[in-house]
Amino acid sequence: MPLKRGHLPMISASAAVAVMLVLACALVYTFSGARPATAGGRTQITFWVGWAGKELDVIQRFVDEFNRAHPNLYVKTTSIANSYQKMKIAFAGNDTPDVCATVWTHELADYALRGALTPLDEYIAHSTRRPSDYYPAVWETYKVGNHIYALNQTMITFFMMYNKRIFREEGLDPERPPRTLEEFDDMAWRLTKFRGGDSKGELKRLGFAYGNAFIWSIAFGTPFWNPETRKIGVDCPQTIRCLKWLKSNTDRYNYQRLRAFQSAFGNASSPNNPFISGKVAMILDGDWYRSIIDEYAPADFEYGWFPIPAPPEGRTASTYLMSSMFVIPAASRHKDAAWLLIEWMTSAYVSCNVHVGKSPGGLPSLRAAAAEPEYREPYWQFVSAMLSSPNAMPPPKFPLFERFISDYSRMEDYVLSNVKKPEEAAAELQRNFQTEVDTVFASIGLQDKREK
Amino acid sequence: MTSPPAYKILRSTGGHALLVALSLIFALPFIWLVLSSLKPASQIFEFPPSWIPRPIQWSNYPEALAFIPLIRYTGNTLFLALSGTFGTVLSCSLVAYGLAVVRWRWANALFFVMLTTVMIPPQVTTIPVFLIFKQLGWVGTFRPLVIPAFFANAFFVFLLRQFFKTIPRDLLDAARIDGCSHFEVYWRIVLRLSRPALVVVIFFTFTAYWNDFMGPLIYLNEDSSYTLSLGLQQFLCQHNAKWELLMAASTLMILPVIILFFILQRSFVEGINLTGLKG
Repeated sequence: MPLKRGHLPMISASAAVAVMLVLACALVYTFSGARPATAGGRTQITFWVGWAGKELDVIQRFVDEFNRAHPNLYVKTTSIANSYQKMKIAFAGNDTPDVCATVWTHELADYALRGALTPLDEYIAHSTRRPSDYYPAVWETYKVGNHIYALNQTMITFFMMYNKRIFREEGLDPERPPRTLEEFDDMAWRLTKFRGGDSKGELKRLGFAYGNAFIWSIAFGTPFWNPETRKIGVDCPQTIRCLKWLKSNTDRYNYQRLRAFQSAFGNASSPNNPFISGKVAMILDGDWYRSIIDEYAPADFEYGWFPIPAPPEGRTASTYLMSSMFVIPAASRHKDAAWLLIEWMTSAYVSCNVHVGKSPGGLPSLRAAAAEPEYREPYWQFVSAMLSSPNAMPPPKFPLFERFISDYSRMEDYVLSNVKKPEEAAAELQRNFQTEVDTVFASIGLQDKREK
Repeated sequence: MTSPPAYKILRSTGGHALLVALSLIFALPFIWLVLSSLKPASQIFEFPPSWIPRPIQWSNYPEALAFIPLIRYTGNTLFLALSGTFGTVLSCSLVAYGLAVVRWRWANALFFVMLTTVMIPPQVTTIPVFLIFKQLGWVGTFRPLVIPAFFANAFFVFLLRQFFKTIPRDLLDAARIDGCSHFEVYWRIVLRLSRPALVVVIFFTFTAYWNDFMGPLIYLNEDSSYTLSLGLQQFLCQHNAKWELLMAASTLMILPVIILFFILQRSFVEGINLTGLKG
């Protein structure tokens, strides 16, 4: 059909619009492509970390030193800024970095059992690192089955801290913290203040915010996991005793009143931190809390520390170990280079110098590094003693452990809020979680109970 | 001219007062955000809360700009938001036109199939989609975040299809009789009459891209390509958090969206002449 006079402009306009749209789409596609790598001919190693801000600057300094010392390698650091969902998806999609410091102790077994990590045994055997270089409990933390999958710089331990000024105000000896569970409960009650002095009134200060059943269960002796039989060990007298002890104390203070008081606590990483602001006299937390106190507490803030009290039949001087760790994903394209980076980043030199604030952020996992002058002060000597304790416990090595912690906390809530009895709650957790663990082991072909 | 009766004045005043009070309640989180952005760290989590910063710490803003490369992250976010909005509007309007205006046998059936995809939670498809993009070699680039926008969004297709169906058929048929192709009817008539619906799509798409956290987190592996939402996360370090700087950066991040809303708000309230027919 011939073009009619006057129609040509319409067709041209449509064609022009269509061409512009296609061009715009092409430009978008082009400019959304990959940014060029800046390795300059060197082998690029991708390294993911969870640190951000000043912490990342500190880590980057050591990465820069490594890059200068290895002219054929270039480590590209990327911060995932505490968003560990990215790690899970990267592992699930088998698109991981070459090396990362974003796998936590409680996740190690999950990744290792699924074959997502590279065992480090061969690398360690050919290096100067030995198990005897580390605290025994720390070395156990790195293992899943009979293989080592990770190393780290510093290991977090959990213990009690107390406000010495409040102790002094209430007539307690600030240099003599509680040693037994009974003393602890007694002191916690004495240090609690109510408005108007009436114990039925509104809370003004807590001696201790009872909770965190998982850590207390360690002190009470809960076994949690039997690697031989692959059975969860939660439904046991130790857990029941722990839950009943927690409940007796929360009932004493009134659970709802406790939770209401705790809901008004300021953020832990702020000057309104409840321990620093005097709202709680004693806390149970990790040794990294020292950096919060250094950052936000006034200069005259006095505090002390002591091991988690335990019942006579429990684990004395117990602690729980936790840390982010350096691992080589199984999908890493440069495993040898990744090991060189891990060896450097977990060395005594780097471990001792990775701290952002006035004092070290944690005690190095290497025993020799822990003997350095800056760790000779009483606080770090205490942390060293906790790491050396025969009751220092790494996370149990079964799959879905991260969810287990969350379910354990839910069990605690059920018991403390009178929804379920301790026996019922523990049995239900044991039953449900055992089924899930068995399913995971079956799905990854580990029905056979012999260790690989 | 007589003045309005007293009860009408009272009713109007009362109504406005109620609306202002409700607006303030809804605006409270934003007011708190802006006030917190001017506070020192010690006041942000004070209890009982203090509203007025003492002193007013304007330095939070330049410090926030220096803590992370905010300008670069803003540029990345703008590129994603503009590209994504362009792709969404283009693809959704084309698909909606095909389903609403063009008469073909399977249009309704396909529309219902497309609607069912709205019911699939994004968490279910995250890993399979990630695997697809990994196979394509797009992980680590902006492409997984931008290219899907050019393949239509079921919800916005639904929204635009319903709006296109309200355009008088006679108008479109008249244009076809006059020799317009489908593309010309779409471009010259349908799009021009659908401004309010398109403004809704533009605004919601832009806001979604601007605030998107999971997409950039999963697909971007270079610090230099991070977006504002990932940048804000970097204020929360493992051992401490810069809350006052985070509040300042959040205020800066939210401002473009507020400005965009006020610019586009007029299109929501302007009347249009739907029929375009005379006599």
